[in-house]
Amino acid sequence: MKRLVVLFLLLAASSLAAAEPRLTSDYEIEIARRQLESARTSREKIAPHLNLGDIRAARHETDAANGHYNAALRIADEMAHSARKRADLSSYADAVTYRAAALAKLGRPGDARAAFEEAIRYRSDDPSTWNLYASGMRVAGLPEKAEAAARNAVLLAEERKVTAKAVLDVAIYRYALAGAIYEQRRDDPEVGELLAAVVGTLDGPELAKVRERARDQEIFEIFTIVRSDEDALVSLLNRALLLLGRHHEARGETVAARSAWERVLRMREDDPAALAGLARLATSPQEISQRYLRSLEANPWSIPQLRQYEAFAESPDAPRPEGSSAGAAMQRAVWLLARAREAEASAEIDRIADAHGERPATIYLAARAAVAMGDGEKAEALIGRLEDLPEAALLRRAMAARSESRASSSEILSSLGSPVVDPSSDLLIGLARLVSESRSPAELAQIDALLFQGIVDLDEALSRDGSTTVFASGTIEGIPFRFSVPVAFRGDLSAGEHRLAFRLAGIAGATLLVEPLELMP
Amino acid sequence: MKRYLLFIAALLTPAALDAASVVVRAGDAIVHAVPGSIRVLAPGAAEPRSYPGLAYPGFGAAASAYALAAIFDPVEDRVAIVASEGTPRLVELRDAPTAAAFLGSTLFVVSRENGTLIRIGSDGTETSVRASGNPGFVSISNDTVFTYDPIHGVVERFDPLSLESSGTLVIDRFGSDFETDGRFGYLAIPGTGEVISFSLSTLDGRKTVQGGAVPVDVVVEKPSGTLSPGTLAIADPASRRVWRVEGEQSGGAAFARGFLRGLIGLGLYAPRSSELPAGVDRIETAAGGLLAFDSSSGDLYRITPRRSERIATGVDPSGYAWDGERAFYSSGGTLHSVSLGAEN
Repeated sequence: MKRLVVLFLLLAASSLAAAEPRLTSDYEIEIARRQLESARTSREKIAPHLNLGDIRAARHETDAANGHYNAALRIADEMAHSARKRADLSSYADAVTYRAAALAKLGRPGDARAAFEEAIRYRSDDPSTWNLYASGMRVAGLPEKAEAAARNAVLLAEERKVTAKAVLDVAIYRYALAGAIYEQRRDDPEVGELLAAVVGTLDGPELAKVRERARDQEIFEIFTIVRSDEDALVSLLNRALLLLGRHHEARGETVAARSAWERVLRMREDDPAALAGLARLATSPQEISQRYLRSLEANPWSIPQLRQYEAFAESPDAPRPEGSSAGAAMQRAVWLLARAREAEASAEIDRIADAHGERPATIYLAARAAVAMGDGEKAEALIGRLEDLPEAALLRRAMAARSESRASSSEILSSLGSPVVDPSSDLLIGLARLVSESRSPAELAQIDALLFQGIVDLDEALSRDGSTTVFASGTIEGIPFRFSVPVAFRGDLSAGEHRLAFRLAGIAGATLLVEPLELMP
Repeated sequence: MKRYLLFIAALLTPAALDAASVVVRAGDAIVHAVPGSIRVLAPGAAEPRSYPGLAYPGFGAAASAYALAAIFDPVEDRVAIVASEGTPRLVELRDAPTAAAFLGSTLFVVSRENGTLIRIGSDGTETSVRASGNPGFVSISNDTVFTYDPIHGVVERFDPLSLESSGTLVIDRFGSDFETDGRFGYLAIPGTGEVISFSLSTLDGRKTVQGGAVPVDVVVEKPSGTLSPGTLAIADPASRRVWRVEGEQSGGAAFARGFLRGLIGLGLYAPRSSELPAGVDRIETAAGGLLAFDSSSGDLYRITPRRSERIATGVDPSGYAWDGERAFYSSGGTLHSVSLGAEN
């Protein structure tokens, strides 16, 4: 029983799980529910409560998660008291360890640490107790303390590596240690060494029978709750390879990173984290977009993956995502948001929510759209529903920055005279955003009347016939811009620096929309 | 038993849901730390002085002769050094504190997580050295600092001024307590049910006795002399007993003999008492007896050779201290006191 909690906590607490949470399936909830229903003793009920709590927490269902953690805490307290009355100190130490794990998950790091310290008074020789200590400290956001506890778990487990189960335990503890170090020092070579050892163990002769059984039972699912050594082996191999890929990526070792993620995909071709990893390594915009699409199709509701895609979607080269799957629609909504096409993005998000139900990921995108449109009231209401996520603070910061920049742009606008010669990048972006967002006809008329002159760096011409040259895009003050349609300029002109007179038409993502008036000598 | 409600603690800060509190003595004053606040109750004062404190007070150390106490926050790695007079000084530690002891007004802290021994001088200067392994306990004896690493089973001796190591002893692992009495060191080993002694001066001479079923905590009631053995008390929650045993004495084997006497009932604390329903696992000497604590229930007991008596409930593991006459304890964030009376 304790081992199930141990591996689950290890997986749930990993930074990888936080960065790239997988879709916790209803099937897994069902497993934990059945585990809880069939539990007869108080002791047997603790693990499923902790497991269910973690699954709910992964789905951002905080109240439900805390309900399970509090239930686990209450049972652990009763168990501790009763064990002491029976003078059963082994059960007492177990109960205190469970108590500590529940406290860590309830966001009480001081009490959790005290409870773990109480447990190791009796169990300082037990690697699984140290491993739970490590998991608890990671959950509490204390990776350096987790690392120290994980080192003890590995040290003690290595001393007793005799059975296949013990060999698997060592691999689990090494993975936990690698995760704790990775959280602090992503490129630390020890992470790679530990994970290579984990993969080597899982591939090695000592676990041949477990691998064989996993193959015979056709186990391929990656679980957060593992019920057997076979489940544990498959899930741990998946996690270790994913983390190994991230570690190699952090060290700039792209070949090794790609190799780790490709091996994950050979085991499970729709693994979203591996697909996202490969997307980050891809070089052509089409391949990047395609990899992200596959990753989002595997898990459309992963906010961290949406955020990874956001960074790429800002690029002018990012192709418009097509397709009717939920993942494609979510990707398209992000792409539209990156181009300041908030109304279209909102419509897309509404369609997704109608078809699949509202999820934190759809609320997140809707909030992003509301922030971008300057609809503070709606944005605040949506952000309020994301309070448990780090994205809530991010969105609030974006909202504050947006209203600050808007206020200052409005103020600047009233002080500008036309033409504006050699405008700064901040001014151009601020005014372009005003064009996109302003609901004031007076402000729009003011911006419309403004003429700008500045040095632009034109991209290669689309065509030229000797008397005219057609340009579509370039940069000004380091900001990419494009014309709404390619424009033919008189003369046989070369790409590069020219002085351009123009009006501002708006902004799409990070690209200014410019209406050219004249190329000046 | 007359109890005095001293003052009502402020509500816990909303950000800190932790309930832990620490009570420690600083000379004649009592220091009570709850999340976010430190209160110092001077003798005779009706109200404590309050100061901003630590987010997660975890454990404390006292230097009563210097009217000093230290409260540690093992989550944020900070220590508040509190004098009975004046404002507490908050020190950020480079390493995570695990245990601490004063030598005079100098504080020695071990960090199991970082494998270091840290010295914090009275002027606040912090120096540290790498210890052998990962020390989880520190004890001061004869102006010398001793650390014990329960994972690797290593006792190490340090010079308090230079922090130079002057010897190590590889000994039993997985101890739950480490005490010294001036001549000998004692380790409680719950897994084997033994209490181990060794010589502090030579760092050898390991001896072992049966320490009950699961000895968890040891306290030196009377230090050993040249000719006479000291006395140890051992908390054994599995037997629901606190055993008393003669400690080590120079050149003799009285350690084992002393314990045997304990087992047959001579000098055994409260053998017929049933007032320790779940046993106790933390003990310290107080007013001719012991203060004993049951971590599972938060019950605090006073134990004398004649009787054992529960004096408080709902107490935190580091939430009690005594000043010679009264025991002070924190329950639900509120500091209480109870007279220990006089009994020998």
